[in-house]
Amino acid sequence: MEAAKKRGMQSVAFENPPVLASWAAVVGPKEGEGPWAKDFDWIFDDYSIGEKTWEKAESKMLRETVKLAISKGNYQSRDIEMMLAGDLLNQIVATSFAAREIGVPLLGLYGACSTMAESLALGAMLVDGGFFNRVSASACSHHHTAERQFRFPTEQGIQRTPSSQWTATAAGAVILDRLGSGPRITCATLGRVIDLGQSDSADMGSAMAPAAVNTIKTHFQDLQRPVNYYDLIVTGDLGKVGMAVAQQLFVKEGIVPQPNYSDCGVLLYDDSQGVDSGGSGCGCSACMLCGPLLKKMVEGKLNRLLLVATGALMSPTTQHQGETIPAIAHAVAIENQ
Amino acid sequence: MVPLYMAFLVGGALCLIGQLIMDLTKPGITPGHILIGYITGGAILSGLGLYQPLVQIGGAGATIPLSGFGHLLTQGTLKAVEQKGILGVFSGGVEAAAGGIVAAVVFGYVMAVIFNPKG
Repeated sequence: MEAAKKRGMQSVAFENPPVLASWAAVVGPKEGEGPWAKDFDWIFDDYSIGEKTWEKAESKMLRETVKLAISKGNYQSRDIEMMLAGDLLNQIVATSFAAREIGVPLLGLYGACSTMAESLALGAMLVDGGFFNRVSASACSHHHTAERQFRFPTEQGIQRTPSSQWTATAAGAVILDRLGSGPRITCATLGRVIDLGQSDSADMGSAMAPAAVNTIKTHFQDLQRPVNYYDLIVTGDLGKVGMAVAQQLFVKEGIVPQPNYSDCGVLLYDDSQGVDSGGSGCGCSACMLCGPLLKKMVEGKLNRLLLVATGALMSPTTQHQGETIPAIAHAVAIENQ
Repeated sequence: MVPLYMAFLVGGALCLIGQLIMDLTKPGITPGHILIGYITGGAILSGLGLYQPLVQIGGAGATIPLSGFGHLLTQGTLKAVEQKGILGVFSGGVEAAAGGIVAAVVFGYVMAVIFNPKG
Protein backbone atom coordinates (compact mmCIF):
# COMPACT_ATOMS: atom_id res chain seq x y z
CA MET A 1 0.00 0.00 0.00
CA GLU A 2 1.26 3.44 -0.90
CA ALA A 3 2.00 5.67 2.08
CA ALA A 4 -0.83 8.17 2.56
CA LYS A 5 1.20 11.32 2.06
CA LYS A 6 3.67 10.08 -0.52
CA ARG A 7 3.26 11.25 -4.08
CA GLY A 8 4.92 9.59 -7.02
CA MET A 9 8.50 8.42 -6.64
CA GLN A 10 10.22 10.97 -4.42
CA SER A 11 7.66 13.47 -3.20
CA VAL A 12 5.43 14.08 -0.22
CA ALA A 13 2.36 16.28 0.08
CA PHE A 14 1.32 17.61 3.46
CA GLU A 15 -2.21 17.10 4.73
CA ASN A 16 -2.04 20.04 7.11
CA PRO A 17 0.69 22.14 5.54
CA PRO A 18 2.97 23.51 8.27
CA VAL A 19 3.11 27.30 8.57
CA LEU A 20 6.30 29.30 8.26
CA ALA A 21 5.43 31.26 11.38
CA SER A 22 8.58 33.36 11.64
CA TRP A 23 12.01 33.53 10.14
CA ALA A 24 15.30 35.41 10.31
CA ALA A 25 18.24 36.00 7.99
CA VAL A 26 21.64 37.18 9.17
CA VAL A 27 24.53 37.91 6.81
CA GLY A 28 28.15 39.01 6.74
CA PRO A 29 29.64 42.23 5.37
CA LYS A 30 29.91 41.23 1.71
CA GLU A 31 26.32 40.00 1.54
CA GLY A 32 25.29 43.23 3.26
CA GLU A 33 26.83 45.20 0.41
CA GLY A 34 24.79 43.26 -2.14
CA PRO A 35 21.40 44.10 -3.62
CA TRP A 36 19.28 42.75 -0.73
CA ALA A 37 20.77 44.58 2.27
CA LYS A 38 17.44 46.02 3.41
CA ASP A 39 15.79 42.58 3.44
CA PHE A 40 18.14 40.96 5.97
CA ASP A 41 17.50 41.18 9.70
CA TRP A 42 21.08 41.72 10.71
CA ILE A 43 24.28 42.48 8.83
CA PHE A 44 27.58 41.84 10.62
CA ASP A 45 30.24 44.35 9.69
CA ASP A 46 33.15 41.99 10.19
CA TYR A 47 33.73 38.32 9.57
CA SER A 48 34.79 37.47 13.11
CA ILE A 49 31.58 38.78 14.74
CA GLY A 50 33.58 39.58 17.86
CA GLU A 51 34.89 36.03 18.21
CA LYS A 52 38.44 34.69 18.23
CA THR A 53 38.06 32.18 15.41
CA TRP A 54 35.94 32.01 12.30
CA GLU A 55 34.42 28.73 13.46
CA LYS A 56 33.18 30.44 16.62
CA ALA A 57 31.87 33.27 14.47
CA GLU A 58 29.92 30.88 12.27
CA SER A 59 28.44 29.09 15.24
CA LYS A 60 27.46 32.39 16.84
CA MET A 61 25.83 33.52 13.60
CA LEU A 62 23.63 30.40 13.48
CA ARG A 63 22.80 30.66 17.16
CA GLU A 64 21.77 34.29 16.88
CA THR A 65 19.74 33.65 13.74
CA VAL A 66 17.73 30.86 15.36
CA LYS A 67 17.22 32.98 18.48
CA LEU A 68 16.11 35.90 16.33
CA ALA A 69 13.59 33.74 14.47
CA ILE A 70 12.27 32.51 17.81
CA SER A 71 11.86 36.02 19.20
CA LYS A 72 10.43 37.47 15.98
CA GLY A 73 7.61 34.93 16.26
CA ASN A 74 7.04 35.88 19.93
CA TYR A 75 8.14 32.42 21.00
CA GLN A 76 10.41 31.36 23.83
CA SER A 77 13.23 28.85 23.30
CA ARG A 78 11.26 26.24 25.23
CA ASP A 79 8.38 26.53 22.71
CA ILE A 80 10.62 25.03 20.05
CA GLU A 81 10.55 21.27 20.33
CA MET A 82 13.20 20.36 17.80
CA MET A 83 16.01 22.15 16.01
CA LEU A 84 16.98 20.92 12.56
CA ALA A 85 20.14 22.51 11.28
CA GLY A 86 23.35 21.97 9.39
CA ASP A 87 26.48 23.65 8.09
CA LEU A 88 29.54 22.84 5.99
CA LEU A 89 32.20 22.13 8.61
CA ASN A 90 33.61 18.76 9.60
CA GLN A 91 31.26 17.07 12.06
CA ILE A 92 28.86 20.03 11.51
CA VAL A 93 30.39 21.75 14.52
CA ALA A 94 28.90 25.18 13.86
CA THR A 95 25.49 23.58 14.34
CA SER A 96 26.33 21.45 17.36
CA PHE A 97 28.07 24.32 19.14
CA ALA A 98 25.15 26.64 18.44
CA ALA A 99 22.67 24.06 19.73
CA ARG A 100 24.73 23.64 22.88
CA GLU A 101 23.61 27.08 23.94
CA ILE A 102 20.08 27.13 22.55
CA GLY A 103 19.19 24.08 24.62
CA VAL A 104 16.65 22.58 22.23
CA PRO A 105 16.79 18.95 21.03
CA LEU A 106 18.88 18.80 17.88
CA LEU A 107 18.80 16.82 14.68
CA GLY A 108 22.03 17.79 12.91
CA LEU A 109 21.93 17.54 9.14
CA TYR A 110 24.52 17.40 6.43
CA GLY A 111 23.29 18.02 2.92
CA ALA A 112 26.10 20.40 1.94
CA CYS A 113 24.45 23.49 0.45
CA SER A 114 21.09 21.73 0.16
CA THR A 115 20.68 21.81 3.94
CA MET A 116 18.07 24.58 4.10
CA ALA A 117 15.62 22.65 1.90
CA GLU A 118 16.48 19.39 3.68
CA SER A 119 15.76 20.88 7.10
CA LEU A 120 12.51 22.49 5.89
CA ALA A 121 11.29 19.26 4.28
CA LEU A 122 12.14 17.15 7.33
CA GLY A 123 10.73 19.77 9.70
CA ALA A 124 7.47 19.89 7.76
CA MET A 125 7.25 16.08 7.89
CA LEU A 126 7.80 16.07 11.65
CA VAL A 127 5.09 18.70 12.15
CA ASP A 128 2.54 17.31 9.69
CA GLY A 129 3.31 13.82 10.97
CA GLY A 130 2.06 14.90 14.36
CA PHE A 131 5.32 14.38 16.22
CA PHE A 132 5.92 18.01 17.10
CA ASN A 133 3.97 21.25 16.98
CA ARG A 134 6.87 23.59 16.46
CA VAL A 135 10.33 23.04 15.05
CA SER A 136 13.07 25.27 13.72
CA ALA A 137 14.78 24.63 10.38
CA SER A 138 18.02 26.41 9.70
CA ALA A 139 21.38 26.39 7.93
CA CYS A 140 24.51 28.51 7.89
CA SER A 141 27.86 28.94 6.17
CA HIS A 142 30.87 31.21 6.65
CA HIS A 143 33.15 32.21 3.81
CA HIS A 144 36.43 31.77 5.63
CA THR A 145 35.65 28.49 7.40
CA ALA A 146 34.45 26.99 4.12
CA GLU A 147 37.56 28.14 2.27
CA ARG A 148 39.73 26.34 4.80
CA GLN A 149 37.46 23.30 4.87
CA PHE A 150 37.22 22.77 1.13
CA ARG A 151 39.87 24.83 -0.63
CA PHE A 152 42.92 26.67 0.65
CA PRO A 153 43.72 28.86 3.64
CA THR A 154 42.56 32.34 2.67
CA GLU A 155 45.95 33.84 3.62
CA GLN A 156 47.54 31.81 0.86
CA GLY A 157 45.80 33.99 -1.71
CA ILE A 158 45.15 31.23 -4.25
CA GLN A 159 43.77 32.45 -7.57
CA ARG A 160 40.06 32.03 -8.15
CA THR A 161 38.78 30.72 -11.47
CA PRO A 162 35.85 32.36 -13.31
CA SER A 163 33.67 29.32 -12.56
CA SER A 164 34.41 29.34 -8.83
CA GLN A 165 31.79 30.54 -6.38
CA TRP A 166 31.92 32.65 -3.25
CA THR A 167 30.73 30.86 -0.12
CA ALA A 168 28.25 33.16 1.55
CA THR A 169 28.68 34.25 5.14
CA ALA A 170 25.06 33.91 6.05
CA ALA A 171 22.47 32.02 8.06
CA GLY A 172 18.74 31.57 7.80
CA ALA A 173 16.26 30.08 10.24
CA VAL A 174 12.54 29.33 9.98
CA ILE A 175 10.12 28.37 12.72
CA LEU A 176 7.58 25.87 11.42
CA ASP A 177 4.32 25.79 13.36
CA ARG A 178 1.40 23.41 13.05
CA LEU A 179 -1.01 26.32 13.46
CA GLY A 180 -0.93 30.02 12.71
CA SER A 181 -0.89 32.21 9.67
CA GLY A 182 1.70 32.73 7.00
CA PRO A 183 3.08 30.94 3.97
CA ARG A 184 2.89 27.17 4.20
CA ILE A 185 5.00 24.27 3.05
CA THR A 186 2.61 22.28 0.91
CA CYS A 187 4.83 19.59 -0.54
CA ALA A 188 8.43 18.57 -1.01
CA THR A 189 10.51 16.45 -3.35
CA LEU A 190 13.58 14.75 -1.95
CA GLY A 191 16.41 14.39 -4.41
CA ARG A 192 18.49 11.45 -5.51
CA VAL A 193 22.28 11.72 -5.61
CA ILE A 194 23.27 12.49 -9.19
CA ASP A 195 26.85 12.38 -10.45
CA LEU A 196 27.58 12.95 -14.10
CA GLY A 197 31.33 12.72 -13.64
CA GLN A 198 32.31 16.33 -13.00
CA SER A 199 35.35 16.48 -10.73
CA ASP A 200 36.35 20.17 -10.74
CA SER A 201 35.65 21.54 -7.27
CA ALA A 202 36.13 25.05 -8.66
CA ASP A 203 33.03 24.51 -10.81
CA MET A 204 30.43 23.05 -8.49
CA GLY A 205 27.55 24.77 -10.29
CA SER A 206 27.94 22.48 -13.30
CA ALA A 207 28.20 19.45 -11.02
CA MET A 208 24.97 20.33 -9.20
CA ALA A 209 22.85 21.51 -12.13
CA PRO A 210 21.86 17.96 -13.26
CA ALA A 211 20.69 17.14 -9.72
CA ALA A 212 18.61 20.33 -9.59
CA VAL A 213 16.94 19.67 -12.93
CA ASN A 214 16.32 16.03 -12.03
CA THR A 215 14.59 17.03 -8.78
CA ILE A 216 12.52 19.74 -10.51
CA LYS A 217 11.43 17.33 -13.23
CA THR A 218 10.54 14.65 -10.67
CA HIS A 219 8.62 17.26 -8.65
CA PHE A 220 6.38 18.13 -11.60
CA GLN A 221 5.83 14.47 -12.46
CA ASP A 222 5.16 13.30 -8.90
CA LEU A 223 2.73 16.08 -8.05
CA GLN A 224 1.27 16.42 -11.53
CA ARG A 225 1.71 20.13 -11.53
CA PRO A 226 2.17 22.17 -14.72
CA VAL A 227 5.58 23.73 -15.36
CA ASN A 228 4.10 27.22 -14.96
CA TYR A 229 2.51 26.43 -11.56
CA TYR A 230 5.09 28.38 -9.58
CA ASP A 231 5.66 32.13 -9.64
CA LEU A 232 9.32 31.38 -9.10
CA ILE A 233 11.51 28.31 -9.02
CA VAL A 234 14.78 29.18 -7.35
CA THR A 235 17.78 26.84 -7.12
CA GLY A 236 20.17 27.12 -4.22
CA ASP A 237 23.63 27.96 -5.46
CA LEU A 238 24.31 26.96 -9.05
CA GLY A 239 25.81 30.35 -9.87
CA LYS A 240 25.91 31.78 -13.37
CA VAL A 241 27.78 28.80 -14.80
CA GLY A 242 25.50 26.20 -13.22
CA MET A 243 22.35 28.16 -14.02
CA ALA A 244 23.27 28.23 -17.71
CA VAL A 245 23.81 24.46 -17.58
CA ALA A 246 20.44 24.02 -15.83
CA GLN A 247 18.66 26.06 -18.49
CA GLN A 248 20.11 23.86 -21.21
CA LEU A 249 19.08 20.76 -19.27
CA PHE A 250 15.48 22.02 -18.93
CA VAL A 251 15.23 21.97 -22.72
CA LYS A 252 16.98 18.62 -23.00
CA GLU A 253 14.68 17.06 -20.39
CA GLY A 254 11.61 18.43 -22.14
CA ILE A 255 10.71 20.94 -19.42
CA VAL A 256 9.41 23.46 -21.93
CA PRO A 257 8.30 26.19 -21.71
CA GLN A 258 11.02 26.85 -19.18
CA PRO A 259 9.77 27.59 -15.70
CA ASN A 260 10.09 31.06 -14.19
CA TYR A 261 13.51 30.28 -12.88
CA SER A 262 16.39 31.90 -11.02
CA ASP A 263 19.20 30.97 -8.65
CA CYS A 264 20.06 32.25 -5.16
CA GLY A 265 23.78 32.18 -5.98
CA VAL A 266 23.20 34.52 -8.92
CA LEU A 267 20.83 36.78 -7.00
CA LEU A 268 22.75 37.20 -3.74
CA TYR A 269 25.57 39.44 -5.03
CA ASP A 270 26.07 42.22 -7.53
CA ASP A 271 28.33 41.55 -10.49
CA SER A 272 30.70 44.23 -9.22
CA GLN A 273 31.44 42.29 -6.01
CA GLY A 274 34.04 39.97 -7.56
CA VAL A 275 32.29 36.70 -6.77
CA ASP A 276 32.92 35.20 -10.23
CA SER A 277 30.15 32.67 -10.91
CA GLY A 278 28.09 33.68 -7.86
CA GLY A 279 27.33 32.76 -4.26
CA SER A 280 27.29 29.32 -2.67
CA GLY A 281 27.13 27.64 0.72
CA CYS A 282 24.27 26.57 2.96
CA GLY A 283 23.75 30.18 3.94
CA CYS A 284 23.23 31.30 0.35
CA SER A 285 19.78 29.75 -0.15
CA ALA A 286 19.00 30.07 3.58
CA CYS A 287 19.45 33.84 3.70
CA MET A 288 17.82 34.45 0.31
CA LEU A 289 14.76 32.48 1.45
CA CYS A 290 14.55 34.00 4.92
CA GLY A 291 15.37 37.48 3.61
CA PRO A 292 14.04 38.72 0.27
CA LEU A 293 12.03 35.70 -0.93
CA LEU A 294 9.76 35.24 2.10
CA LYS A 295 9.38 39.02 2.29
CA LYS A 296 8.06 38.99 -1.26
CA MET A 297 5.67 36.20 -0.30
CA VAL A 298 4.33 38.20 2.63
CA GLU A 299 3.90 41.22 0.36
CA GLY A 300 2.02 39.02 -2.11
CA LYS A 301 4.54 39.60 -4.90
CA LEU A 302 5.20 35.87 -4.90
CA ASN A 303 2.51 33.35 -4.00
CA ARG A 304 3.98 30.05 -5.10
CA LEU A 305 7.67 29.47 -4.58
CA LEU A 306 9.67 26.30 -5.18
CA LEU A 307 13.00 26.37 -3.35
CA VAL A 308 15.40 23.81 -4.81
CA ALA A 309 18.52 23.92 -2.63
CA THR A 310 21.47 22.16 -4.22
CA GLY A 311 24.41 20.44 -2.55
CA ALA A 312 27.78 19.12 -3.74
CA LEU A 313 28.48 16.11 -1.55
CA MET A 314 32.24 15.75 -1.90
CA SER A 315 34.86 16.01 0.82
CA PRO A 316 38.42 17.34 0.54
CA THR A 317 39.68 13.77 0.88
CA THR A 318 37.59 12.44 -2.01
CA GLN A 319 38.71 15.42 -4.09
CA HIS A 320 42.35 14.59 -3.44
CA GLN A 321 41.64 11.01 -4.40
CA GLY A 322 40.35 12.17 -7.76
CA GLU A 323 36.70 11.26 -7.18
CA THR A 324 33.92 12.99 -9.06
CA ILE A 325 31.37 15.22 -7.29
CA PRO A 326 28.05 13.62 -6.29
CA ALA A 327 25.30 16.23 -6.11
CA ILE A 328 21.85 16.43 -4.57
CA ALA A 329 18.89 18.78 -4.69
CA HIS A 330 15.80 18.92 -2.50
CA ALA A 331 12.72 20.91 -3.46
CA VAL A 332 10.30 22.52 -1.03
CA ALA A 333 7.09 24.18 -2.21
CA ILE A 334 6.09 27.25 -0.20
CA GLU A 335 2.68 28.71 -0.97
CA ASN A 336 0.37 31.44 0.24
CA GLN A 337 -3.05 29.96 0.82
CA MET B 1 68.90 48.20 -17.22
CA VAL B 2 69.18 45.36 -19.70
CA PRO B 3 69.73 42.61 -17.07
CA LEU B 4 66.59 43.87 -15.34
CA TYR B 5 64.52 43.46 -18.50
CA MET B 6 65.98 40.03 -19.13
CA ALA B 7 65.25 38.91 -15.55
CA PHE B 8 61.67 40.11 -15.98
CA LEU B 9 61.27 38.35 -19.32
CA VAL B 10 62.82 35.03 -18.28
CA GLY B 11 61.09 34.92 -14.87
CA GLY B 12 57.82 36.02 -16.43
CA ALA B 13 58.08 33.40 -19.17
CA LEU B 14 58.64 30.63 -16.61
CA CYS B 15 55.58 31.75 -14.64
CA LEU B 16 53.53 32.09 -17.83
CA ILE B 17 54.30 28.49 -18.74
CA GLY B 18 53.21 27.33 -15.27
CA GLN B 19 50.01 29.36 -15.46
CA LEU B 20 49.18 28.00 -18.91
CA ILE B 21 49.77 24.42 -17.78
CA MET B 22 47.32 24.92 -14.90
CA ASP B 23 44.70 26.74 -16.97
CA LEU B 24 44.77 24.37 -19.93
CA THR B 25 44.67 21.16 -17.87
CA LYS B 26 42.13 22.26 -15.25
CA PRO B 27 41.39 20.57 -12.86
CA GLY B 28 44.00 17.83 -13.37
CA ILE B 29 47.15 19.83 -12.70
CA THR B 30 47.14 21.89 -9.52
CA PRO B 31 49.59 24.38 -7.95
CA GLY B 32 51.03 21.41 -6.03
CA HIS B 33 51.90 19.63 -9.26
CA ILE B 34 53.50 22.80 -10.63
CA LEU B 35 55.59 23.19 -7.47
CA ILE B 36 57.02 19.68 -7.63
CA GLY B 37 57.21 19.65 -11.42
CA TYR B 38 59.17 22.90 -11.61
CA ILE B 39 61.69 21.88 -8.97
CA THR B 40 62.19 18.48 -10.59
CA GLY B 41 62.29 19.98 -14.07
CA GLY B 42 64.82 22.61 -13.00
CA ALA B 43 67.00 19.92 -11.40
CA ILE B 44 66.94 17.73 -14.51
CA LEU B 45 67.61 20.60 -16.92
CA SER B 46 70.45 21.73 -14.67
CA GLY B 47 71.97 18.23 -14.71
CA LEU B 48 71.82 18.22 -18.49
CA GLY B 49 73.60 21.58 -18.51
CA LEU B 50 70.59 23.37 -19.99
CA TYR B 51 69.63 25.59 -17.06
CA GLN B 52 72.93 27.44 -16.54
CA PRO B 53 72.62 29.25 -19.91
CA LEU B 54 69.17 30.46 -18.81
CA VAL B 55 70.68 31.79 -15.57
CA GLN B 56 73.31 33.65 -17.61
CA ILE B 57 70.62 35.29 -19.71
CA GLY B 58 67.98 35.92 -17.03
CA GLY B 59 69.91 36.10 -13.75
CA ALA B 60 67.45 36.35 -10.86
CA GLY B 61 64.63 35.73 -13.35
CA ALA B 62 65.90 32.16 -13.64
CA THR B 63 67.20 31.55 -10.12
CA ILE B 64 64.25 32.86 -8.08
CA PRO B 65 61.44 30.73 -9.62
CA LEU B 66 60.99 27.18 -8.35
CA SER B 67 63.01 25.75 -11.22
CA GLY B 68 65.97 27.79 -9.89
CA PHE B 69 65.71 25.86 -6.62
CA GLY B 70 65.98 22.59 -8.56
CA HIS B 71 69.02 24.02 -10.38
CA LEU B 72 70.61 24.92 -7.05
CA LEU B 73 70.03 21.39 -5.69
CA THR B 74 71.65 19.77 -8.72
CA GLN B 75 74.63 22.11 -8.85
CA GLY B 76 75.22 21.66 -5.11
CA THR B 77 75.05 17.91 -5.48
CA LEU B 78 77.47 17.81 -8.43
CA LYS B 79 79.97 19.99 -6.58
CA ALA B 80 79.77 17.90 -3.39
CA VAL B 81 80.24 14.67 -5.35
CA GLU B 82 83.43 16.15 -6.84
CA GLN B 83 84.74 16.98 -3.36
CA LYS B 84 83.43 14.15 -1.17
CA GLY B 85 82.63 11.37 -3.55
CA ILE B 86 79.32 9.51 -3.60
CA LEU B 87 78.22 10.76 -0.13
CA GLY B 88 77.89 14.18 -1.70
CA VAL B 89 74.72 12.94 -3.41
CA PHE B 90 72.98 13.07 -0.07
CA SER B 91 74.49 16.20 1.46
CA GLY B 92 75.34 18.50 -1.44
CA GLY B 93 71.88 19.61 -2.51
CA VAL B 94 70.66 20.70 0.88
CA GLU B 95 74.02 22.31 1.74
CA ALA B 96 73.79 24.49 -1.35
CA ALA B 97 70.16 25.36 -0.62
CA ALA B 98 70.74 25.89 3.14
CA GLY B 99 70.50 29.68 2.88
CA GLY B 100 67.09 29.54 1.23
CA ILE B 101 65.75 26.84 3.52
CA VAL B 102 66.87 28.57 6.72
CA ALA B 103 65.52 31.89 5.46
CA ALA B 104 62.13 30.23 4.87
CA VAL B 105 62.11 28.75 8.38
CA VAL B 106 63.26 31.98 10.08
CA PHE B 107 60.87 34.28 8.23
CA GLY B 108 58.03 31.77 8.62
CA TYR B 109 58.67 31.65 12.35
CA VAL B 110 58.83 35.43 12.67
CA MET B 111 55.59 35.86 10.74
CA ALA B 112 53.88 33.23 12.89
CA VAL B 113 54.95 35.08 16.03
CA ILE B 114 53.89 38.52 14.79
CA PHE B 115 50.60 37.62 13.12
CA ASN B 116 47.68 35.48 14.15
CA PRO B 117 46.47 33.54 11.11
CA LYS B 118 42.87 32.33 11.21
CA GLY B 119 42.45 30.74 7.79
